[in-house]
This record gives sequence, structure tokens and C-alpha cells, in this order.
Amino acid sequence: MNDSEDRLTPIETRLSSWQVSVPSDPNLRQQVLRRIDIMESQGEGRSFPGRILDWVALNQLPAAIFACAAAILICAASIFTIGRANRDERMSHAYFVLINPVARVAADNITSNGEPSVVDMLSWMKDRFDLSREQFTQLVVLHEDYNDRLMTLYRELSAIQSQYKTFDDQRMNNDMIDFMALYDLLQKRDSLRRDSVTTSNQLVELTLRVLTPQQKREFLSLMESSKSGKETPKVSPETHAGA
Amino acid sequence: MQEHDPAFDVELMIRVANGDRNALCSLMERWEAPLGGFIYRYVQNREATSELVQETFVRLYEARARFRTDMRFSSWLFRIAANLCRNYHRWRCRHPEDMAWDESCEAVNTPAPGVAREEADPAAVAERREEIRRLKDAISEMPHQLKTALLLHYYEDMSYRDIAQAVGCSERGVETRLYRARAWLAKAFGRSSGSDRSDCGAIAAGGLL
Repeated sequence: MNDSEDRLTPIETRLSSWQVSVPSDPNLRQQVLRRIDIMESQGEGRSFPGRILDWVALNQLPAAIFACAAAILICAASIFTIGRANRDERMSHAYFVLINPVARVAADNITSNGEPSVVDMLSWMKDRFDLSREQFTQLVVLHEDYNDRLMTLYRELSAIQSQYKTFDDQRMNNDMIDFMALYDLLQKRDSLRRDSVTTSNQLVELTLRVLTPQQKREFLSLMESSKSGKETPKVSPETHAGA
Repeated sequence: MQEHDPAFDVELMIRVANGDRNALCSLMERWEAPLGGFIYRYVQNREATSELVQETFVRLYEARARFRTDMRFSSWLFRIAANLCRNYHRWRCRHPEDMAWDESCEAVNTPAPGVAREEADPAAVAERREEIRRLKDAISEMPHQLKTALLLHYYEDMSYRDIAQAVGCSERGVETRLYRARAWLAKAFGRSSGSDRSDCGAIAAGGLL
């Protein structure tokens, strides 16, 4: 034993006792080069992330282009998402006003030609909630049935609102106030408002019966965000439970 | 380990990165033996060793664009090999029936340092064969990080710095891994023979893992 061997610990002595001699592989070069040829000719042989890393390492400019393209895609996706959310908000609010004469009178200019029609509303709902052809047909029939009633209520409420405005203008220029007339006017307006809310609630409840549970949740969510403090058709807890 | 000029290895690797296949052949010629020794000790199977050596050089060529000239070529090469060995070991753990150990590359008759030539008789050879079997079992069961550090340090004679580059940790981390690897072996031998008091003492003092 020499000095260096004397300094070995028992573990190191044991480790040094394991001597191996791996014979040279005469086909190593040939096999490796053949595999590289196959890999390069077929563009295969390694994972996609690995090829991406090599490509980026070898090409600085394409890497920059790749990064820009990724950023553009992310921005486009964000714009699309925001755009869809804005459209949902606008259309759901328009629909809410359309089926609620009280809110429609408050909006006051809903009958202008630029506003979406019932058909527009239902087309939006068809896409937004992915309605089946049968659901869409049922909703069209349902809204057509209620359209005349809702329009009548809207016109009567508009007329009452106009009379109230006239009465108010007269009151400002005349010391004499006809309290009985004012009382009758307000009674009639309250009655019309109750009818409007009842009618709108009926339409909403019948609409919910056509929708699937998932569609109901989305529909109610949009309606809730649209009403935002206005006098609205109220969906009772029973209706939610039924949904 | 065969002596290699690190600068020349880097030069060859740069040529490989530029598509020079002769340079790749030179690297294969220079590094086949040490690479084969490392892989064989890790997987302990000759057929698998041959395939993994090939695979290592193929992966080396594939990753040529990512080679960093501030890194030792040996660290880069053994890093690839160690990852392949780990993958192979995981596969073998899932398919234990597909592969058996073999000892076709082992020189059992060669006395270890510190063992006199006169002891190389059949009884001594049988005893040493048993010792080596226990060593191989212990190394085989060792966690990948400890095993890689141990094999690179004791059999490939790599420095802490080079091992650190190969395994992706600090030099202090390598030192810790080697300590734990020795403690692992000491525990394995202590469990089977009750010997190696000094190393067992180290385990008791510092804990195994």
C-alpha cells in the first residue's frame, strides 16, 4: 500500500474497487451520424419545445418577430373579449328596456330608428346563449305575443308622462292647483306601472322556461346588470328555483 | 479519466455548432470511454449503456446551438447524460421485468487499491465480488442528485465547480450532496456488515438526508 491509498476512507476504498471497462462501440459514429441524418431529413427526433428553443437560439430576429406576434395575438384576444363584453352590456340593456315599458318611458328615446328591434334582440340572444332552433322559435312566438301588450302599455305610460309634464308646467305658472286631477293622474300612472311590471315579469318567467339552466344563469346575470336601480321586472325566488 | 484539453473540447464543440460533423466524431472518440463508464455505473447494464451513449451524442448535436463557451464541455456532456440516465432509470422502475443487471463490463479480478495481490485468490475474489454487489446496490438505490455527484466526483475526477455546472447547483451544494452520498453508502454498508464505524459516526452526527 502506498501513502495515497493509506489516506482512503473505507467508503472510498470500496468505491475504488468498482472498476469498469466499457468496450468501445465500433458502430457508435455510424449510428449517431445516421440518426442525425434521419432527424435532419425528417425534422423529427426531438420534442417541439426543444426545437423551439434551438430555433430561437439560432435566430435572434425570428425570435423578436415571434415575440411581437405573440404580443399582437394577446392584444387581439383582449380587444375581442372587451368588445364582446361591451356588446353584451349594450344589447342586454336594450333588451331590458324593450320588455319593460316603465324603463322604456324613462329612456324616452327608445323608438328612434337607430335602436335595435325585437328581432335584433332575439338574434343577439340566439348567438349569445347558443339557442337551438326550437328555443329560438319559441322565444320569437313568445315575444310577438307580448309585443302588442308591451307597446300599448308603453304608449299609455308615455301619454301619462306627457300629461304629467303639462300639468307640472301649468303648476309652475299658476297658483291654482287641481289636486283631484293630479291625484287621478298619479293613480292612473301607478296602475299602468304595476301592469307593466306584471306583464314584464310574465314575459321573463316564460322566457326562462324556454332556456336551459346554464342559459338561465347567463340571462339572469345580464338582466341583473342591466336594470341597475331602475324599476324592473322582478324575478321571484320561485322562478330562480324553477330555473 | 483520460486527460482532455478543455479548450480543445470547446473548440470542437463550436465547430459542431457550425455543423462540422468531423468535429463531432472527434468528440465521440475523445469522450466515449469516460461517458460509457459514467453511464454504465449509473444504469448498470451494458446494452442500455451503449444506447445511452449514442443518445447522448445525438442530443449533444441537437442542442449544439445552446452550448455556452463559458461552460466546460465535460459539464455539458455529463449533464445531458445524467438527464438521460435519470429518464432511463425511471422507465426501468416502471418496467422492472424488461431489464436485468449484468456485469459484463466489470473487472472484478482487479484488486482494489489497498488490497494486496496475494489476496486475489478465489475466496478473496468471491468476497470482493460480494462487496462490489453491495456497493452497486447501494448506488443504484441512491437518489439521482446524490448518485450523479458521487459518480462524477469519484470516477470521472471532476472538480466541484464542474460538477456544479453539470448538475445545476452551487459548489457548496455539490459538497453537501457528496457528504450525503457518502453517508448513504456508509449506512448501506453499516446495515449489512456493521463495519465502517467512522462513516456511520458521520451519519449519526449529521443526519442522512
